[in-house]
Amino acid sequence: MIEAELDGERPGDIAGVAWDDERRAWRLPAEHHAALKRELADAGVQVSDEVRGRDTAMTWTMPGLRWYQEVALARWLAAGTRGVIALPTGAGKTLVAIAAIARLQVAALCLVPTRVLLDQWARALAVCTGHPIGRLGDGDHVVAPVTVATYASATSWAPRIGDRFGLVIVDEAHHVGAWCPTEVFEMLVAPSRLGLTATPPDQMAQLARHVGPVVYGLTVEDLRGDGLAEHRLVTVPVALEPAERRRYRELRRRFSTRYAAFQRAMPDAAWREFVRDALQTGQGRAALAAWREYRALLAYPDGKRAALREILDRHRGRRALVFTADNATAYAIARELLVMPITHEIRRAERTRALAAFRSGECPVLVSSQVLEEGFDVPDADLAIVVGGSGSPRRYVQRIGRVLRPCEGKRALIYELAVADTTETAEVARRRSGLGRAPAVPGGVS
Amino acid sequence: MIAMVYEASARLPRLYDDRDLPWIGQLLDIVEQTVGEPWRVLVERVEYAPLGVHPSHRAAMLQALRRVLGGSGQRARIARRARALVLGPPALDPVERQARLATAAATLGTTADDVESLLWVDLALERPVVLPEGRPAETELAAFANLERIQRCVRRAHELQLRVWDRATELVRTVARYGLISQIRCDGDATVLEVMGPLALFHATIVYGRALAQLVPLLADHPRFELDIRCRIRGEEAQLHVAPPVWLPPPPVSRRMPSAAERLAHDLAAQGHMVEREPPPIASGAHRLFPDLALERGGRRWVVEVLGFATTEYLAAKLDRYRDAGLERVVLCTDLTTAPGSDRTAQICGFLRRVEVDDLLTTIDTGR
Repeated sequence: MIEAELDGERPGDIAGVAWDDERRAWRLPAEHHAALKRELADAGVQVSDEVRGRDTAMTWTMPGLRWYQEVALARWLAAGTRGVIALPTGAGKTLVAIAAIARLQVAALCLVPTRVLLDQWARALAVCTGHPIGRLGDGDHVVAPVTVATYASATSWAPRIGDRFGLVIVDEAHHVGAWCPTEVFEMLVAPSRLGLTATPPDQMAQLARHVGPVVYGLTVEDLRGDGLAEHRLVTVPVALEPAERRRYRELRRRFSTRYAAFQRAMPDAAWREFVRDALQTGQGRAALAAWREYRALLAYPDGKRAALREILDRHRGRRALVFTADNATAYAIARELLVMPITHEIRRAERTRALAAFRSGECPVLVSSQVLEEGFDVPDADLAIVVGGSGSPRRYVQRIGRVLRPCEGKRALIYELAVADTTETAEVARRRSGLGRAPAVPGGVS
Repeated sequence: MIAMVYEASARLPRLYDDRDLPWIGQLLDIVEQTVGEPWRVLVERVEYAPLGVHPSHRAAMLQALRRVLGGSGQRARIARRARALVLGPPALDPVERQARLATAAATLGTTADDVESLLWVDLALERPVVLPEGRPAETELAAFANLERIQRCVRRAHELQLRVWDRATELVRTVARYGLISQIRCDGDATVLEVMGPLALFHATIVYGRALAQLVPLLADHPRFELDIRCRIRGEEAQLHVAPPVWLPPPPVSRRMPSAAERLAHDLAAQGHMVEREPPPIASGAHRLFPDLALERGGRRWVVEVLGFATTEYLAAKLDRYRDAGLERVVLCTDLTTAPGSDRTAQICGFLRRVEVDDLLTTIDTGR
């Protein structure tokens, strides 16, 4: 809490200030703490501030940083310790963050989306310091000068611990504003903020406001064979069976007729507006049903089924991650091949057992549509099979990043199954663009 | 049929009544046709069915159906075991696949086909649609959907006013047990509960909203009530008025743990103190006060009220009302997790999870 004597000033005039009847005090989001103090000091206002003691004297034993990690850290420091570092999955973003904590010597709160990442971060931090690491989430409620918290736990804990940290690090920072609520940042006084992501969002407004702009970024292609494992991308064209082809054409026709008419009427309308409009009429609903059905057909036709079997047979024993367009396909593959699916519906204990079995080689194949895309650290995984997915470059980069973590002598192999002469071909091209697309960084490397 | 007042332009959720029975019946026809198939298929069919209602009503009814059918299926418990036995390296050869299923079947004492059908039986969208009790009634589905819709408004409420004519004490005790911030007063033959909504708080709004929403199912037991909710829906202020006849599911069977007040009374009695549980309500002007227990200490009678959520103003107002009723020897016990810092005031005994007898007696002795 800040107490200040304001002569003639009206606190209500300060942007964002609200009167709290409960506490009989003016309130401002904790995020503005540093700026408010500066503002009051500039105005010559006497201030008594209860927020203090965020410095730590922790000792850190850091491994050497790679060249791009050094540059990333330097750029972030030069940007006033606020901003986002965009490096591909496996390039060692966590290490850059730990180096930032060690360099600033302040208490730090690390926000991560999942419990799996909570474990990974706590382990990575413990390797670099002998001091205990706090954990919030997954049943743990321990706060320490360096604490890792899931987004969900941070949301409920922030009102109580928001004044204890000088640096906040947000992993998978592209989730800020959605999965990671911006309220968390509003409740933290930490003036230093570091975002980490492999795929900065197109809409940067929320992230830039609460964390900062992208200060450094590299792509998968930039680090190929350097910070990331050597890899080969193989596209496997798949043909539809004659009956499947006929069905596809029929469904596609039904959908396109309606969609084309809508686009002619509303050329600038977004997809969700089409969905909203289509749901109002029987014809529209039939078009949407056709769309869904042909997507399901492309998700796992007989050709993909055969190709998947052949690839797995050819690479028996390799640790493979199979990515699908949807959960239904993931379950279908899991059922056919009796391999473990990893979806949001599979509970944590079972998921943990499955990941351990994958690491040990007991279950060398996992199939998933989304869950494995982020926060899954298995350096041994060296084979990715993309059976289906959306056209999103962000999701694609996250997916293949799972097998690019560098390992001695590793050469990753990525197969991508695409049904020829269908809408999937264009989607594959669209998502591929993510591999070489450099984040928009002034003066960044691409 | 249903008394509802729309006082603002906000799109308030509509409560279901007999006008909705035809399309709910059509939806249940689809459910019956989908028995044995995954829930995912049912959701898709309902989404595209020509029911003539907005998608939000379809979603509301499917959610209600899940509540009516309950659970994750009878055999859900062994699904995880089946997966542990069956799933492993890819079974690329049909013979290998069949052998693995057969081995698991032998372990589980069932058939290979059964093992295969068990694999995803515990997963929300993959488990098959089953109607163990037969086709549910349209009204039952509508009642559960109504409950969910009212609870949604309650979770987004600034304040709500509940007017009841029968068995008010029971409802007041429930409000106290959930730790809600409320004022109770009499208005003619009605008891009026004015309860603060989660949006009027600065902290713990989700937890508070959840607790508040638990009040709604209990209204089904009251033949006469009026519930007014001032809430914020989709960014707009709105007011919802609900009164019978409204379809609500029967209230849940109470399987509650002893409340903090009940545990305190038990602990005091175990230490040999004279305790009166739930003494009669006390009139204080138009308001009614409901202490949880009365205690003899040093030859004097003290009343104790255990509170959950609280604000400084709320505690001060409550003590004033006791004072107005001629009672000075009062202790309010406040849960420090939901009312942090409240114990800095005299006559307030803070607690975490459980009221400690020693803390209470110290508070009494300090204020004697």
